[in-house]
Amino acid sequence: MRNIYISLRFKVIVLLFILIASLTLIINESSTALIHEKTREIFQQRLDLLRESIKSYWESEKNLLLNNAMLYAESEKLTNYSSYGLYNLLQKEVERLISKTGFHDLKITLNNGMTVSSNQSLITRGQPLDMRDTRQNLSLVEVQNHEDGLYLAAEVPLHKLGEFIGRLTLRRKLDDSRMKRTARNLQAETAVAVKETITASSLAESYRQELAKEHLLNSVRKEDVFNIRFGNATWSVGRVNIAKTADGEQVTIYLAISQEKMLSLVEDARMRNLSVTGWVLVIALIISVVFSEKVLLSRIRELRDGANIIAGGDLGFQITSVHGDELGNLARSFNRMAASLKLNRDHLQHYVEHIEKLANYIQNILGSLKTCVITWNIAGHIETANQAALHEFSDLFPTLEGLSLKQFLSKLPKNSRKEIIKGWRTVREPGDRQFEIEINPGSHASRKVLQGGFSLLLDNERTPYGLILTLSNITQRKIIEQQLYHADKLSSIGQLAASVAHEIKNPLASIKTLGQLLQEETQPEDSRREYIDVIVSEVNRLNMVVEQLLKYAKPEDSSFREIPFAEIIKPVMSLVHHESERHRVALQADYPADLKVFVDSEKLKQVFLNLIFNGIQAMNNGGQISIRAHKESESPWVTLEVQDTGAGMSSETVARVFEPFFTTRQRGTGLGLAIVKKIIDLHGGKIEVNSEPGKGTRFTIYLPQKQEG
Amino acid sequence: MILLLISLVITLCPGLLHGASDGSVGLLSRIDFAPALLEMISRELERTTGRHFSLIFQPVEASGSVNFSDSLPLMLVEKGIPETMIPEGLEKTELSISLVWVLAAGKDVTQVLGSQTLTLDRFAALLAELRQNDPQRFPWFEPLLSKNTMRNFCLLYGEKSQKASTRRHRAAMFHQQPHAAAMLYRAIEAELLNPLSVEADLGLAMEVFAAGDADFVSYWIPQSYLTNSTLWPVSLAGASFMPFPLSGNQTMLPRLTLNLWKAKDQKIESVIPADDQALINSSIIELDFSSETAWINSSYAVNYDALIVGDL
Repeated sequence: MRNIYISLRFKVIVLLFILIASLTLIINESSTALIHEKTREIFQQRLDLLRESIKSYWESEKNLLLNNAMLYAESEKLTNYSSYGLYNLLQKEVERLISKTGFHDLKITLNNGMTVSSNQSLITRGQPLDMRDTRQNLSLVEVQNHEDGLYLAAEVPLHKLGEFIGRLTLRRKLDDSRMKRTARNLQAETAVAVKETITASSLAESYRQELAKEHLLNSVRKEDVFNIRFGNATWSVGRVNIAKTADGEQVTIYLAISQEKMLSLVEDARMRNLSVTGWVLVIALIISVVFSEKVLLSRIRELRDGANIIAGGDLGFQITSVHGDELGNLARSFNRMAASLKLNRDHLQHYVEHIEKLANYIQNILGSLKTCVITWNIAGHIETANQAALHEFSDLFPTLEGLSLKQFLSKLPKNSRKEIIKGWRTVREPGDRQFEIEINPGSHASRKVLQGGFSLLLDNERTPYGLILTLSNITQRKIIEQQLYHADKLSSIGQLAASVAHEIKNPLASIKTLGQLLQEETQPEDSRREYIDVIVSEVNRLNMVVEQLLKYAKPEDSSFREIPFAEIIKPVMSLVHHESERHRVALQADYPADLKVFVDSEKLKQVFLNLIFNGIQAMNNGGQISIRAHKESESPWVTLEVQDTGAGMSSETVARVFEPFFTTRQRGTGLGLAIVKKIIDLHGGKIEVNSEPGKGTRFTIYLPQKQEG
Repeated sequence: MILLLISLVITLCPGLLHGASDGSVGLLSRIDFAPALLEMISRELERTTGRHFSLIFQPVEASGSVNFSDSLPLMLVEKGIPETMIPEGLEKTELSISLVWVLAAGKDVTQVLGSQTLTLDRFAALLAELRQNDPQRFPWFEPLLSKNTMRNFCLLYGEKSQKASTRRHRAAMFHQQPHAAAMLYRAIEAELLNPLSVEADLGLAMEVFAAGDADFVSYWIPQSYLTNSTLWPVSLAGASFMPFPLSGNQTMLPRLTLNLWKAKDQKIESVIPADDQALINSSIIELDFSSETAWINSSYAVNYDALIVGDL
C-alpha cells in the first residue's frame, strides 16, 4: 500500500484541534443543558414570583384607589358644593376630576340622599343615609361584579369641617385595558375571572376562549399552575384567587407566560454557546497552528534548514536552540553528525587538494609539452588531448576530444593515415615504432610534419585500457634538412658546371676573338659578313649562357637579414617599369606595409626580376602582373605571389618549368626559373606554380620566417 | 383678592370667533372682573366701535398704584380714576361703556316672575317659596368676598355704622333689616342665601348662576343689556336682569362707567347711537372710583366682619 504523505504540522494541528474541539463541545453541551435546566427553574420561579407579585399588585391597586378616593374626599370644592347644595357645580366638578384619570366613575352620595355621579348627567335623589350606621364613617375597598364587568370600588366618608356629609365612591373597572396595563407592568398576560366567566383579559380573543375553557375545567382540577396551548405555543399559567366580590364570589386572576420566550432564551443561550464554541474552535485552531509553529515545527524547520545548509556545504553549521526534550536530543545528534561530516570533509578536502595539485601538475606537464599527447580509449575514441595537440591539429579539428579514429584519420593525407593505422596495429608489438605524418590542411604555409608513435595506456594492474599517441612537430627540422640537401646537391652541380663552363669559356673566347677579327677585316657588304656576324652573335649568346650557368652553379655566399619587403619590391618595380610599359603590362603590388622577410635581399630581388620578366614575355598583347605578399599570424611561412594574365602553360610545361635550360622561347637560356628555384631553395622555401593555358600563371613562394633564438 | 395681588393679564380672544384682532385695549378698573364679564365688555366694545379688540385687564392695586405691563394705544379707564394713574400720551374720547350692577334671575324664576316688577317683598317671598320647594338648595347666591359687591349692597341697603351698634331685628325678615350686612346675615340664617356666598368671589358666583345652582345672583352687565336682550350671551339665555328691589317699591341701579382713552394718533369713534337713558326706570347711582375706593378702605372690613361674625 502506498504511503500517503501527511505533514507533521497537519497532524499536530488536527490532533490539538480535535482535543480542544472535543473538550469545547463537551463543555458546550453541558453548559447548554445546565442553562436549559436553570432557565426552566428560573421560569418556574418567575411564575411563582408573579403569583406572589399579583397579590401585592392587587393590594397596591386597592391602596391606590383608596388613596385617590380619600384625596378626592378632601377636595374643598367637592365638600363646599356638597354642603351648600351646589349640585350642578358638584356634578361638573366630579366629571372634571374623573376625566382622563382612568377611573371609571366618581360618585358622591350625600346625607340627604342626593347622589351625584360622574357617570350620570342627572342628579338623583334617594333615601337619606342612615346616620346611625357606624359603617358610614368607614373606608372600604371591594370588588363589585356587575353585568357589564368587574369593578374595584373604594368608598370613603365625606366630611365638611369634621361633619359627615356623605360618602364618596371611586371605581375602577377591571376591563381589558386595565388587564393590559397590568400585563405590561408584570410582563405577563393577565386575565380575571369570576364564576365561570373570564371578565377581562390582556389576551387575544382566541386565547381568551382557550383560557375560559381551561378555567371551567380547572374549577374542578384546582391546579394553581398548568400549561395551556395558545396557538402553536405552549404557555405556563398560574392561578391566584385574589379576592371575593361583594356578593361573595371568588375572583381569580390568571397569569400566563409564553414558554416561547423561555425556549427562545434557551435557544439564544444555545446559539451563544455555539457561537462561543465556534470562536473557541477558531482560537483553538489558531493556538494549534501557533503551538505547532512555535513548539514543534519551527524547531523541525530549524533542523531541516540546518540539513539544507549542510547539504549546501556549510558543515560548520550548528543548531543553537537545543532544548531538553526529544527534539533537543535530535538537535544534539544533528550537531554531532554535522561536526563529524565537517571533519571527514576536511580530510577529504585535503586529499582532493592533493589530487588536484597532482592533476594540475600532470596537466601542466602535458600542457607545457611541445609534443602532442593524445589518449585513446579502447573503443577508439580520443579521450584527452594536450594543448600542443590541439594547437597542431587546430586547422583540422576545432576540438579533438570525442573524435573516433575514423573521424581523426578522415582529414589526414593518405600516407599519414596509413602510418597511423600501421602504428595503431603494431602498438602491442615490442619495440618503439616511430612514424611521420604530414598534415596539410590547405596551402603549403600550413603544412606540418609530425613524428611520433603509439604506446599503450596501462592501469595499476598493467592492463591496457587505451592508447597514447605522441607526436612532435619536425617541420622546421625537415626544412633544414631539405635546405641542406639542396645545398649539397647544388654544390655538386655547381662544381660540375664550373669545370664545364671553364672548359667551354676559353674556346668561346678564342672563337669570339677570331670572329671579331673577321668582322673587322670584312666589309659590311661582304657576303660573308652576315655569317661572321651570326658566329659572333651566337658566341655571345653562348657566352651568356655559360655565364648564367656559372652564376647558377656558383656556390655564392648568402647574406640573410630581416628586411622590410617594401625595400625589396620597390627597386624591382622601378627596374622593370620601362620594360613593362613597353609591353603594355600593368604592374600592381599588394603587401602589408609592415611586412618583413628574412632573406638575402639581392637574391630575392633576382627572383622577382626573373618572375616579372617571365610574365612580361608571356604577354605579347599586354596584361597585368600582380605581386602579393602576406603572412598568416600563426604560420611559419611568408607567402609571396606573382601572377600574370598571360597565355598560361600546359601541365607538361609546368612540370618542367624549373628544369635548367628548359625554355619555350627561341632565344631563352632556360635558366631564369631554375635560378629562381635555386634561390628559393637556398632560403629553405618552396615555390609552386599554377597555370592553365589561356588563364595566366601564378607563382607562389613560401619563405620560412626568421626563427626566434 | 388674587386679582389685586398679582398683575393678572387676561387676554380674551374672541378674535378666534369674530376674526382677526384690531389691537389690544387696556382695562383699568378696581373691579375684580370675572372672565364672563370681561367677555361681555369686549363684546360691548366691539359693538360700540365696530372693531374687535383684545382686552388686557390692568387691575388697580389696593394702594391705588398701577403696574403697566405694556404701553397700550387704547385704554378703558374706570370713571374717577385720577389721570395721574393713566399712562401719559393718552387722551379721553367720547366713547364709554357703562356697566350696571343688577339682580340676575334664573330661567325658572324668570318664568315665575313673568313681566311683573320685582319688589323687595316679592323678592323675599319668592326666595322663601323657592327654599320651601327645594330644601336641598339655596335660591340666592352672592359673591360677598368681592369688596365691590359688599359696597354695592351697602349702597343699596345701608351700611353698618362703625360708631354705633345697630340693633338687630331677629324677628324681622331679611329684607327688613336695617343695613346690608344684617340683611345678608339674616338671609343666610334663613337659608335663603347660600352660606358659601361669604367665601365666593365674582367668578364663583357667575359659575353657580350659570350651573343653575342659584336662582338669584348679583351681576355686572353692560347697561345696553337691560334694554336689548339680543345682546346677551348664550349662557344667559332665559335669564332676566333687574335692578335690585329696595323698600318702598324703589329700585336703584349702581352704574360704573369705563371711558375709552386713546393715544393721540389713534382714530376711533362710535358706530352706534348712544343708549336711550329714558328706557331705564331705576335711579342710577354713578359709582366713582375715588369715593368707592375710600369706602372700601374705610368701611368694607367693618361690614364684612359684621356679616361673618354676626356682629350686627
